[in-house]
Amino acid sequence: MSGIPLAELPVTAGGCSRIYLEFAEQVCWIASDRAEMLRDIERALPRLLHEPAPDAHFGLGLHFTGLGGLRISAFHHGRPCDLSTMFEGPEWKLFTRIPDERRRLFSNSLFGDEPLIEFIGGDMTVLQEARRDLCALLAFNWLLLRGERLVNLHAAVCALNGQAIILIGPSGAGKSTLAQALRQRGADVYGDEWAYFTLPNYRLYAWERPLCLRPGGVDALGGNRDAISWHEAKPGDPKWSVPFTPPKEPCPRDRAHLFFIDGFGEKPTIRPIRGGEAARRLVQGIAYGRADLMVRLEIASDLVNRYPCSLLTIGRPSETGAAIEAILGRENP
Amino acid sequence: MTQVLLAENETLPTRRPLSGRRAGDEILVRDAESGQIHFLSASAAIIWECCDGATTAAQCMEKIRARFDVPGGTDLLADVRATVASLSDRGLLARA
Repeated sequence: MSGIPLAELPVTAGGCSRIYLEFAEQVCWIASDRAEMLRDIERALPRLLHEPAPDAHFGLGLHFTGLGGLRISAFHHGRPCDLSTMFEGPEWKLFTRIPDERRRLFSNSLFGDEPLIEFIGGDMTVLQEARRDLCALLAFNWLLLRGERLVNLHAAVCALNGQAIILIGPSGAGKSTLAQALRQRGADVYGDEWAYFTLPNYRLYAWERPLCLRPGGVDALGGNRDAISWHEAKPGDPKWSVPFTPPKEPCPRDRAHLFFIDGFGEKPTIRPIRGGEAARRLVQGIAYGRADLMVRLEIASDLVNRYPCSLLTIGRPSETGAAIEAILGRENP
Repeated sequence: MTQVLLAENETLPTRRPLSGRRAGDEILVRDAESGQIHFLSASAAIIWECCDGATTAAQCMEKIRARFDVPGGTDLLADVRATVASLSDRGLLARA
């Protein structure tokens, strides 16, 4: 440890380093006392790397604490900010405070009852080595949203003929499978986890990452699940990380259609939905820097006013992909 | 439910000065005092907007007919009265 506050570090100093990332029109920095962690981030997010920017006013500090622990500090305008406030919105409902008079411990229901995170002051310490990257990513996402210049949706993002297709639904709804089916129809696929919109102009940025398919999705696409190497980020939930294909075109920024996945059926059905219904559905999947429901509903209303919205029942993936393509074709003859 | 007796040539009651946001044809209204959020359907949104202290029930009905295919024989005035009563029960109208 250098003893220098991470917020004040130059690009390299005293064994500590920092890198700069640009995402969704924002430049931020990540500093760490372990250079290999930054190299891992550089390898994982090469398209986000940015040259050092003195005006990058927020960032994360990553300190290794020994025994596999990771302490994450967040900074805004050079001052530490309190990461423990990140659980204020409904999007963090998977995290549960563990009763303890002396410590602020949290578990995550996806990973069992064991403490995953401890807050000490405003810093977050990740207690499970296997979840370090995930928690660092969640902290990074929170930091992006904290400035209230972005809103995040849990969604898969693809594009066909210059129009983005945003597939919205909870885990297991079929987003990734459908995104892969659309890729097989020639669509660019950007990711299956997060879509961000800038405020106030609602330009779209997808968090690029490989699709992760469950066995049922592989079956539905006619793949051979025995030939695949599965991994379990969550216990009992095996997934296949589909090799990432770099998109042919950048993600369209201001042409999109939002599809709310509403279950499975024999045949795919797509119907436009009214603004109020779309906003109500949308607000359930929004993450934002403030927990205020009305502010989130206003953002949802703005989004549905800007982009067409449909309710989608998924049939066979290939047929559903064809139905989506037909809808987009009618919108953009 | 509140009973609303409103003749065609009468002015609709005035709405409270609450912030509203459009979502398609619908309006999202926030009542900061009660902490409640109300979604008004497309037709209720028209009536809500007509509650400006100047628009009569007849003018409001014209706006609804211009926006929707209202079947013949519909007692539109009764529908306007019922919606005004509902808006009143939700505390969205100024007290007389």
